[in-house]
Amino acid sequence: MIGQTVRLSFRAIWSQKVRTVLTMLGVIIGVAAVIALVALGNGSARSITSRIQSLGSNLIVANVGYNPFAAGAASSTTSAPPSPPPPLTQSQVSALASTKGISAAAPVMSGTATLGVGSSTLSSSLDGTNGSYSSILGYHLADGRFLSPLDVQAANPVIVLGSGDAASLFGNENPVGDIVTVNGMPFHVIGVLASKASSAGENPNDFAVIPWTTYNQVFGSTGITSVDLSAANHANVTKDVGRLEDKLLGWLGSTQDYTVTAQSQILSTLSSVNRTTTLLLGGVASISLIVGGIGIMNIMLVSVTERTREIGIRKAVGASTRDVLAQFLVESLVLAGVGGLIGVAAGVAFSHVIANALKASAAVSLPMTALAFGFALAVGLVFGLWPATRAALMRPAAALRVD
Amino acid sequence: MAAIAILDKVSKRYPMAGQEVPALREISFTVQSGEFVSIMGPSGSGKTTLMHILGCLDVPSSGSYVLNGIEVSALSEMRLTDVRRKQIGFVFQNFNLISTLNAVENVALPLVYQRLSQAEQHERAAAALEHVGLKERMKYRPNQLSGGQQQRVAIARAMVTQAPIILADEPTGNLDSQTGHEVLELFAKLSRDGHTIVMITHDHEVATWGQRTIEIKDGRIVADREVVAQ
Ligand SMILES: Nc1ncnc2c1ncn2[C@@H]1O[C@H](COP(=O)(O)OP(=O)(O)OP(=O)(O)O)[C@@H](O)[C@H]1O
Ligand SMILES: [Mg+2]
Repeated sequence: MIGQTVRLSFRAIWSQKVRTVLTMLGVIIGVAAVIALVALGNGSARSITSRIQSLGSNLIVANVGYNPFAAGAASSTTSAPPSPPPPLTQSQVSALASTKGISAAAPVMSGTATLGVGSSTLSSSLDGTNGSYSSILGYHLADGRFLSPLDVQAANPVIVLGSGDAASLFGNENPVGDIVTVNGMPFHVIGVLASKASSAGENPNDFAVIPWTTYNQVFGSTGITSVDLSAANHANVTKDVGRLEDKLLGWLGSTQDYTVTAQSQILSTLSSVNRTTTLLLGGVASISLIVGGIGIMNIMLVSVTERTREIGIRKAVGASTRDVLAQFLVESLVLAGVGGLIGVAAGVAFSHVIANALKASAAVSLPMTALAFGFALAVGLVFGLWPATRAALMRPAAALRVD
Repeated sequence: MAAIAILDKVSKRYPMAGQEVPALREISFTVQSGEFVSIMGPSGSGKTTLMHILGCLDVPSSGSYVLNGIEVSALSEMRLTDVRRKQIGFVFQNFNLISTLNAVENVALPLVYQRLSQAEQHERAAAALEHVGLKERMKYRPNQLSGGQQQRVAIARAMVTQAPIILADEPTGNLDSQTGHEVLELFAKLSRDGHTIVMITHDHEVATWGQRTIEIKDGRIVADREVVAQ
């Protein structure tokens, strides 16, 4: 019986092609919008997350420098900006590294330098650091070795190339053992890093690394103002950050002179902001789905009126109130369901097209797709209820007198 | 012979502009099983109203109506549906086929609501169509059939459930005399096969096809007589 009802409702709906397509359009657009917008929201959340995670999920960054946004900074409005705090010493970096819960620390000095091989040159990011850098930031070696304690101690002119820089300067040749000039000074290439997957935005492979002591010599002493640290266990980062802050406060004497930030804290903030945005987008799109439902209700009401006589005939030959109710409910469910299916296909296609156009990634989630389709069916059911009830409650004698 | 339909002082009043307009006034008659009764009367005399009550599409305002042993004048809509489903076959003046269904599906419609299997629906609908001489037109839509053919499909639909009583409201009203004649032949055949038939008409000629004629005027019975065989 129900199979026959569904089959016949397809036929009834298909007998009014233009009207059916126009009615479904509301649901199609609604479902497609929900899926596409949520997919794009999820996609951007995922790419931000992976970008931050690629830096190392246990990463903590300590910066020394005047921070006007730190707690208690607002009171000093009249006084001139205070003199910058002194940079950290090497022994202070070692002290940070031996903090409870911290497994490694690397001073990081960042700048841009011109790298040269023979006549070809390349403008590249250059970091001055120590041997812990690669493990803290999650880089692996493709060839050669990384910076050793001796390189740092002796300020050796040695350089480790990111895979991007290695490819730009040497093509397919192995650069290990060759000479690269940094702002004109010759450096020994001791290692090449393996490629890290590039997520949206910056390429994490276009850079080079030298000992921070050597960096001080090449660029003039700027001192250590930034230290990357690695937490032994990312579950405890909040406590680790507190312990690092205690040490820095002891050395510098003011909470405005340093910041300590855990990558995972940024991550959780960003992902919660993103989740809210995604929900909001999905909510806005759902409204269009409800509008689609009103379209279904409108057309079903028209259909019930037009088919008053048919309802009278069906009742005369034995259709019960429930039979008629079921018939019209199935019709609106079929309208919403078919519209929903097309909407799912359109939404998936759409999110890929937009993702390609915006060079963003789209993450179509199966639960979200099922939810959008289920919502379309629910809309069909809810908005079909009134027209179907109207049809079901028609008095057969009166319905048969209508022409 | 057993009585299949007994009407006793059946009245029907329609509410109109705050008043009640009487359409039927104290109609009483009995239809015996196997009888072919014609109900005659001028336009507006209450024929369609009477058929709707006979067919349990509507209930009387007062009076009693016993159909096949069931007092139906006070039944709920749910019980009336059940009575219609089992007891009555309808034929209408304007055929009243469903345009999106083909001939065999239209005939099978009452069987759908009797929850028969699709195979049985098809088998019985095809047999009924064969009975009215439309075996070759099973897959035709109503708009691909002539008026006479459509009415024969409607008759097949009325008889497919083997209902004890067939009600026809002006079955020849929209047909020319030739096709009207064919349709009446079909009713005569159904009558010979033992079906009980109540046929409404305003045409004297058509009324003589029945065995008995009831004449109504202004909602009242003015004559009730046996047709003299010619
Ligand atoms: N729903 C209604 N509301 C009010 N009055 C009605 C309604 N239906 C029928 N009537 C009135 O009841 C009376 C009988 O109508 P009915 O349709 O039964 O006549 P009829 O004999 O079938 O006429 P016809 O030969 O033209 O079909 C008419 O006066 C009509 O106006
Ligand atoms: Mg009438």
